[in-house]
Amino acid sequence: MPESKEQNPDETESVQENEPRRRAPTPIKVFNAQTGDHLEVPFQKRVSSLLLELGIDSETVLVIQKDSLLLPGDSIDPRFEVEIRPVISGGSGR
Amino acid sequence: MNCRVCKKKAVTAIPRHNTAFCADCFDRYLMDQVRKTIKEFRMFEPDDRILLAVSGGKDSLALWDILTRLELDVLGYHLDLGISEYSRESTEKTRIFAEKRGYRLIVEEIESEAGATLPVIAESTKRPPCSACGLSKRHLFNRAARQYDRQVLATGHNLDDEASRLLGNILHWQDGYLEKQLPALPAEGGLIRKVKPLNRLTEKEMATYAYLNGIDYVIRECPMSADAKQIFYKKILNDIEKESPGTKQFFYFGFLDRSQKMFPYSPEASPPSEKCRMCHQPCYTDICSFCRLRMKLSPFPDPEQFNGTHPDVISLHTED
Ligand code: SF4
Ligand SMILES: [Zn+2]
Ligand SMILES: [Zn+2]
Repeated sequence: MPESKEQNPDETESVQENEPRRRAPTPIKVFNAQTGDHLEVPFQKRVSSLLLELGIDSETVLVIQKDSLLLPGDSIDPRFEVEIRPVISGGSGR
Repeated sequence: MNCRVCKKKAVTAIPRHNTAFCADCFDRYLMDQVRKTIKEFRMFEPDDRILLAVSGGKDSLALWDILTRLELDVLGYHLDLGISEYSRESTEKTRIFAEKRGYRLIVEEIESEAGATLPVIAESTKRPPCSACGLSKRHLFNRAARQYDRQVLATGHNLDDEASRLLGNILHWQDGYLEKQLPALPAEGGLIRKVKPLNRLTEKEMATYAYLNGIDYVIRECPMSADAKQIFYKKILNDIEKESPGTKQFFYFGFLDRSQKMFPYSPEASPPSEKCRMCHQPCYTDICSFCRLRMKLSPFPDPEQFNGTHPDVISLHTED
């Protein structure tokens, strides 16, 4: 029987199901490769919800963790930093 | 999500084709798309020597890798724009990429060629930076192609670049630009043939290719692009694409299907008929826009800068 019911109310339903022993949800460390910024966002289980949290369209970035590309449906391992690499470039004289 | 072809774990999804690929199948897909584009638009002749414009970004470095894999004869050309740290990084990454792979590369500096760095040119001529940048690149690419006996200039413009440019041109009914917005422009009046072999592939696909092939490119954005309209148009198209995958490609290729009828390209009507008095490159008036730009920056230019040719009488008041 999962203990998740008495955990942090911020935790999402899917987290409660899959990570029952975690006391508090681990924040996700994110690195934006274009701006060089490092930030932490509340735990998100999947890439799609992380991008939603950051307000980013999945078609405009690569999401990289542990030297692998992640798809929106992939899970995030909160022990490792996630690199967000924007792909859109601009300028009309290129 | 699994690869639609071999069922291994997918590393990238392509919503407009409703598909996903593993790294190997993605590589096959991307190379097929480039081959198809080259063939469909008859971009290269068998013995063509290619000059490739290389900025140090994902598209141009990836294109260099792809054209080399296709066993084409490619010479890279990089123009250092003198935009502080950004240009230093771009030039360094381009050099390292070329050196590691044994690719041939020419590097020129806008400061030596035009008399000032791009930020200074933009500031002192009151031109938008991207416009001064485009003008200088067109001139210097064409000059390098002639100097190094290259028949065709390839650039890394991708589907997002072309679709966003098309949107901008249509919104402002730029008939002259629409007529020339083709993936392969023939040589005319001393201007070299130009091709865009990546026009079927999105920015995301090109970034994915670069990542999977270990290409170390400049990720940060050119600081002069901050208010570039093109980024705004790209965003609009991406918002539409999200609601309706495939629209971007349909929009751009739909235009190409109709462009001959709607905006017929008429080479004989437009080629530059004159030679610039200063640099002897093709131009529409007696002094080309690049030399005029150079003169605005330095009214008493060193004749050596003009390929050793002395300008005869220079009118400093010639306007664009
Ligand atoms: S953003 Fe503008 S200034 Fe910067 S490289 Fe592109 S065209 Fe040139
Ligand atoms: Zn596969
Ligand atoms: Zn000239």
